[in-house]
Amino acid sequence: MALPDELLEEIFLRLAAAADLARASTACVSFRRVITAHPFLRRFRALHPPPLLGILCGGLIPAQPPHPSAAAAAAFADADLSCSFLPPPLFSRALEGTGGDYNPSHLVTEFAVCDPLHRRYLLLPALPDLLVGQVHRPDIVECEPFLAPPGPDDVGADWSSFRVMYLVRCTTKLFLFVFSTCAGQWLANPVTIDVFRCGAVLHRFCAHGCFCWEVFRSNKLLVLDARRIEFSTVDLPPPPGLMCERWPL
Amino acid sequence: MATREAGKKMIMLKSPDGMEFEVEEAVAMESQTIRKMIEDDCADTAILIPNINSKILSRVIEYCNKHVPTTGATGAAASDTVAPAALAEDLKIWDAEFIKVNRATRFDLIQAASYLNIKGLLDLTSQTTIDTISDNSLEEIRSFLSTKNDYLPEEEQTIRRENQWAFQ
Repeated sequence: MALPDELLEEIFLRLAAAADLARASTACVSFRRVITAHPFLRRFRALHPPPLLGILCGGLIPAQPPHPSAAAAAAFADADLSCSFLPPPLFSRALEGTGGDYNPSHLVTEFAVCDPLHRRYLLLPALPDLLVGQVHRPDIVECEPFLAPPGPDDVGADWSSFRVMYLVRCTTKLFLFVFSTCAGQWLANPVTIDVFRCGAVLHRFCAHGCFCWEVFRSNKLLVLDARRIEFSTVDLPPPPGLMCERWPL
Repeated sequence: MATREAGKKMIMLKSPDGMEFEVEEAVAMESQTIRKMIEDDCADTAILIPNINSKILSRVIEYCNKHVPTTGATGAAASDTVAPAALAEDLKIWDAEFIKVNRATRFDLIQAASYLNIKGLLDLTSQTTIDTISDNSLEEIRSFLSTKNDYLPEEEQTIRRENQWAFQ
């Protein structure tokens, strides 16, 4: 007598380590079918936070023994973080984009999202002229693309869905362009917020479904609610000492 | 039929092979499935538990009897008088004995726990299986879970290669 799939699922969900899940998947075809099904993986992820595989710093610095993820991290040792698997014309342009003459104030309209572990990529449709036209290019201070989870309106979103957000910081206004893999296109309108001389913002943080930027020398935190795609600002407590420079933790 | 005995409401559970079990409502309500039936007033006569034979059903009731939060005359939980840690330890030892069953019975218990939605029992019955997956070779996992290696040789090679890290 074998257990039906839904009970196998219940059992596999209780496995604490992804390695045990991987081992079980090699036992037979039906186990693998249950374990690699997207709804199951989503349930598993919800119960077990993803393990720390390493630190991205230039390249991947994998977890070392005796860290429990060391074996899994070693499997990613040959991950191609330079994304050389992109077709040659794209790859050379990507290199230009990250090379020494990279200009953060240059508005990019073409994006490829790369998965270095599986050596695959997704080429996004170009940012439409109608959207690009709304930005007064000489005012651009900095542009920053980043990945975000699917939004509440993304119909049929599954574990492989995501959004790409492209934040364009101008001297007095922020523009956020959003692409969703579910919609397959860029949102018709950018989300904007007026800012007063938002010259420099520091690193981006992600917490509780929000992206946050600390605005340099302003005691303010710029917050983007990733679900509702809404900007807001939060007043930070004053720095502990006048001479003390604040750094994000 | 729900009856009263010494102030405790009783519920009749029937297995498909015709056996009837009279249990306290509180014990039966350890099962979320039965709780829902009772709360929705679908339990005025005996509740038929499909697919669970009397042998397994009696074991499930045994488990629920042990795990139901006992109440004293004042309604205060027994854990108020007995040290909770000692109680938990006692339950753990009892659980370990309870789960010493053969594979077929364990699978039946997993199915019963899933159908009746008794989280503690599902955790307990699954845990034994989980320990096997964590601690044993692939062959032992297969035998424990009653399955056979049905991969094609080349398929198995690829999958083993992909998951090599998990065997280190």
